[in-house]
Amino acid sequence: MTVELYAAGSLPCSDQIIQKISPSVHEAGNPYFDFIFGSHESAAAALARWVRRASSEISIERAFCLSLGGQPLGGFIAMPGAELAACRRLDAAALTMSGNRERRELISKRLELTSDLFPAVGEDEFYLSKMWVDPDHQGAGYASALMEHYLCAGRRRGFTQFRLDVCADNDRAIRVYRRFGFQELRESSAPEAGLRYLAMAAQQPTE
Amino acid sequence: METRADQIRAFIQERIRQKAATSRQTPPALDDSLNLVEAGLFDSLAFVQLISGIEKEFNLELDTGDLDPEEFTVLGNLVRAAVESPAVAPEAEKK
Repeated sequence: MTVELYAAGSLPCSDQIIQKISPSVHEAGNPYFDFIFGSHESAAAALARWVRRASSEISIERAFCLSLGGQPLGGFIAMPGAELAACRRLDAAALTMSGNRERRELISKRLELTSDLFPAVGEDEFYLSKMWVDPDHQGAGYASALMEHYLCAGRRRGFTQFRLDVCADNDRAIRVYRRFGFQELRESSAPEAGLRYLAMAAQQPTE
Repeated sequence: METRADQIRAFIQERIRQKAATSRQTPPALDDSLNLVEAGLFDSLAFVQLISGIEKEFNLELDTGDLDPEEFTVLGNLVRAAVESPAVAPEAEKK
């Protein structure tokens, strides 16, 4: 059996894929997602819808997965900076309308608290939005395989600048990113939200 | 006679003008096909503040139903959704 990479949105059984990857994408985006939605349950319900929406940052259309004999091993979501900015604006609008009037006030406060958490991504940068490895398959080198595919996807599209944001406590992921040439750009924190993120960047030659 | 839709539209248009003035941009054409978010005037925080502003000004609870964000961020669709949204009593608002 060989490890294969596939575009998650291209498969006919996309509903099954969505059910499998939605919790992984949620986990990959935490602790930010749980904070911004107010709870793990609210985040899970909303993100399961966002994965289905083509205009979302976490759309299945932007997801690539590794599989071994049909068994998902992990995946990533990546896109150019310009596309990311458009997706994030629409996701924030969806977040705004995801609750009633009372909840909207809380969302507004949470957005304000986290407004400086993620530095802007340039239009000339290829952004790694999410990456995950299935818990049963961690430690087998699949994170490195996913990173290779992500960087290769960016280079093929003509990008030489790569960017990501990672939870500052996620030492394991940070070690992987450093191994692939990523360096810390800036650490940002939202103390009242209990969130700390690290912006990282790398340069790669084009293919 | 000015309808409720006209009033809501005028309120949003005024907010757009204010945002454009603050960010020193030329205001876009303010017709119903304008997408408020894609025009780049309303970032995530500004959009939620706009929605809260509409709700307070017109005593309603904005419900965009099954519309996707790329639809309800279009000026005409947002006005229509606001007109069709349930009213909230001003007394309840003061609680």
